[in-house]
Amino acid sequence: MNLVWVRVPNDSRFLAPQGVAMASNMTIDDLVEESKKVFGMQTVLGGRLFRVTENDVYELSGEMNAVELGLRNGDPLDLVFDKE
Amino acid sequence: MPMGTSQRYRALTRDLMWDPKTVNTKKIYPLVEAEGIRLKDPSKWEDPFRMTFNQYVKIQSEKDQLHHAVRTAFEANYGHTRVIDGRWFEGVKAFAVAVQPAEYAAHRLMAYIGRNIPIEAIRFATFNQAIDELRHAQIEIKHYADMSKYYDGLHAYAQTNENLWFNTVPKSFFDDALTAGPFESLIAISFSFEYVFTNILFLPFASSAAAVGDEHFVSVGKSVQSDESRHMALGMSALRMLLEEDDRNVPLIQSWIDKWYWRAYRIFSVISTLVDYYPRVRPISWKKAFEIYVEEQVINGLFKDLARYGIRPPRNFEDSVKEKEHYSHATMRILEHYKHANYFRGFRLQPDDYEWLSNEYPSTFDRYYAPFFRRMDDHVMAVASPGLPAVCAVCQIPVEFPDPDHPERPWTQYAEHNGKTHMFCSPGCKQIFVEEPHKYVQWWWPAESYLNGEFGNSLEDMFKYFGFAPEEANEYYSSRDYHRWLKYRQQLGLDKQYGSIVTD
Repeated sequence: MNLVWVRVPNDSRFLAPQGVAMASNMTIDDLVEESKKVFGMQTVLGGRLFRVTENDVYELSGEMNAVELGLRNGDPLDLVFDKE
Repeated sequence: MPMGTSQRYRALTRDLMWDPKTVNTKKIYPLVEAEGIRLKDPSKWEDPFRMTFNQYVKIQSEKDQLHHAVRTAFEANYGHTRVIDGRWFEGVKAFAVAVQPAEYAAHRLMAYIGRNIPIEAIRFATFNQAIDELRHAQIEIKHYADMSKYYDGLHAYAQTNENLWFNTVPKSFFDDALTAGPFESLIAISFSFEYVFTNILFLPFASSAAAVGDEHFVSVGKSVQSDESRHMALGMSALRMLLEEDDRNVPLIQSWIDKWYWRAYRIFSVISTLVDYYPRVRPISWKKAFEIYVEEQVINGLFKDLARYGIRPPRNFEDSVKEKEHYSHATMRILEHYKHANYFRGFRLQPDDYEWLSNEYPSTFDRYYAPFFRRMDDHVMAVASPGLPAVCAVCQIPVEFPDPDHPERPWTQYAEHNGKTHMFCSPGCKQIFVEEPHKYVQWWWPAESYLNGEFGNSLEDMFKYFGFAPEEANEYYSSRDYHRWLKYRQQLGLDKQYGSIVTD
């Protein structure tokens, strides 16, 4: 099983990235929902995932899957909710 | 004619080595050249204590007799009931998994260093220290054995030490040192760990033990610290010897000091909570202890003296100074996040705790940390982490230290290696990784092992693997241990409140 480390940078309740199980055929939309479950935020609408690297942060397209996006075990991601 | 002290020392410690006739010396000591240290005439170097083995045994035996007399009295008088707040023992449990395994690992390290460095005095000093470290582990375990008769968490101590996720932090440090060359290990342990940091480990914690009334642990601290002064002298003396042997050693020594200062500082994070949080009465804060024992004594004292060799203060020293305002609070926050899966408990802060922390840390505690701890007022598990955290690829601590320049932001750092992104708790740990990525890329994630079933198929299995039950975790004042402690006190009449004294 692969894990990605998801952080919710705009919520001060969650400081460390948490491990979220990721299947290789999972779409990013699915991964957003899995991440929301881990953080107990299922009722919060929306949510976008961003890949974090040493020098860059870029958004992951919701319909593509983990393999297509080159996501690897241990990759850090940010889960961001748009402010209403 | 009887020999004088120095002759006797020489006779009993020197000439223990010989020049091999049939084996190449490099084959016996293969690691010396690999590290790049240059030695001209190290035989002139002396162990600063010049202690012979018979003297060593006599002194240590006397220390043990004194210590065990205190221990026996403490146990016979149910000393555990007399501390001013039983939550202290949760801190002692933290010490049990953070420090005691380090004592045993240090025993192995000293044996490794002595085996691989062909200098008689170093071999003899590390031999003594290897035995010291075992003694420390043993007298500390004796304290836990007594506690285990009354309180949770310690009945499968060896298993807990081996398997608990928390222990990856001290293990990673000592595995790192054990897989370095012998001279680097010597600088890592004898200098960076022992000389720079053991005062801040044993003196404030022993003072806290005295302040809360744990006389047994006071005695442990004093007995251990009496050996630490010898270990510190070894570290200082070995450092000077390597610097004086050859100028070309200086850059190498500096790089080891840079690395091991931060490595040692990071594993002391939990010690900061044992100074600022677990004792109900604190003789000193982490911040003040850091200023006295590290800033004044080491950086402003020792490193000024080392400047003549071309040695400067450790690379990330300024970061540790900035972090002193945050260190214990940020670390306690981490412990509170994961207390449901740890064998020493967190606790709800009491009004006097808030007052003391606010007074000692006026610029940071109320603003950045009190709101977090206040969330436990309604529910003691309100701050529990929802899942399993990412940990730093170097120190293995969850990556949630705040940036001391912008405390509302995380200090988390990232580095790429072979197309993979690695995470770190701080710039100090990132720099260590970047210099030796091959050493850290195989670091172990407890979270990954858990999710892959290495700890079993259920939470119950995981606790069995750790060696304790879920009810031995969580929060102290709502735990069965707190109620046990109150009951023990009641049985001895220690719960009675007496009125004011009537005098003439």
